[in-house]
Amino acid sequence: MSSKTELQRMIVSLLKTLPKERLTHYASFKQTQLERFQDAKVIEGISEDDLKLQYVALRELVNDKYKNYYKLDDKLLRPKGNPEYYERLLKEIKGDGKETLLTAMRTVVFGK
Amino acid sequence: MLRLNKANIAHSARYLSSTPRVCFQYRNSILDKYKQETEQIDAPSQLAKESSLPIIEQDLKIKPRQARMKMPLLSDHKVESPGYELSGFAKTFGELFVKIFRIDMDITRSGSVAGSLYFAECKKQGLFYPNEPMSETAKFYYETLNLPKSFSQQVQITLLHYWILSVRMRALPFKYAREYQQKLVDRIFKDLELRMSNELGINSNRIIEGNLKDYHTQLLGSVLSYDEALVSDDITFASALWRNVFNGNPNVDIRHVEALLAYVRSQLYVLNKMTDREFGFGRFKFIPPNEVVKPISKSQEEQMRQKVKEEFEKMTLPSQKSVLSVDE
Repeated sequence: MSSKTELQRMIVSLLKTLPKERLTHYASFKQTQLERFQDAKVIEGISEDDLKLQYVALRELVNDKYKNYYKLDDKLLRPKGNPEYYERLLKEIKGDGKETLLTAMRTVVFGK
Repeated sequence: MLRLNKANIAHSARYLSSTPRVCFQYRNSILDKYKQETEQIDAPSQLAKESSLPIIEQDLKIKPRQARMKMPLLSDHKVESPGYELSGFAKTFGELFVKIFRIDMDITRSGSVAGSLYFAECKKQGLFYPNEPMSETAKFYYETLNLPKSFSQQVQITLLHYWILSVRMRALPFKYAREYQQKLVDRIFKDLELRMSNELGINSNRIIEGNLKDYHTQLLGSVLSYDEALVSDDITFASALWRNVFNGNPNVDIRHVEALLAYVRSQLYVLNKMTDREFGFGRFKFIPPNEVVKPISKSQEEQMRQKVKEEFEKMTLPSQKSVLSVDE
């Protein structure tokens, strides 16, 4: 039981380190999972091995295992057809540089 | 006794030059600590199966409507039937037409490749019919990941695969990227409309229109989240998959989300290594979730490129002309 409590503590502390979502969605992964893994009843119904696997999976996601394993290069991340696409998108989401009416019109008319 | 002698002879007749290089490297075990550890990754379906977390069914609040009949994967038209070939006369006339009017074949090709081949690839991933055995990929979604068997779930799986392809399409020259994306998305929505009316048996056009608008909004939302996730990190990607594919299920198995993420990242990796020309000619097929994608070395990539170049150099017909790159 103590090992399960330890795993629960590790999962919760890992979930707490997750960044706040930039956009407000209908549900937040961080909040929902925090509530789930802080609930003693939920933990009771999960075996120690399964809980460990949940922790391992979460840790691998946090450590960007797949982003580093399947590395993409600039071919996809700065696409030829629209090199600024992801930069503009992230700027807009982060609120660093808002689109003006002119740039928005340009996107609608020319597609980029 | 005789056998022993033979073995001795064979052993004594070993030449100096036959000493394998591996042995030399092995002797320098002091350098082992500088060796990069090669990480092993299992196939997505294997990853997901490792978990035995008790399943808590998500309450969808409605009973999903199931298909009452089956439509063909693509259409009834003979052009889209497998193994169809133009007659000799039609081929010659077509080639002449393309040559005389200097038709841009990359734009023309986008219709058959994105609107037919890639559309079928996206559609069949999550496709299932009640009372019919499921395909291996459908089993991954509905049995291994335990997703609800509903039409909307099929749409979400199709939209995920559309997004994977659209990331690669964006890397084509702008003029062609637009054509490929447009044709794929048009066909997906046309098919949804037909399936809702024929397969699900929805008679009201108003309801179909409403559903299509909902799916369109979902498409915009999921493309935005996946795009954000692609340039962010794995946990943002996992959150986007959890919201869109796992329907925000609070009792989700995180190992399942990880498996789907591994699947999506592996598809993107394959697309990243594919040249524009190959992709534009419809050579891409989604790797099934029960197979592993292993990263390739620079030299392997070079070899692949060389083979592709040689293959496309042989294609000299007017209809096979293309400006898409064979180098990247």
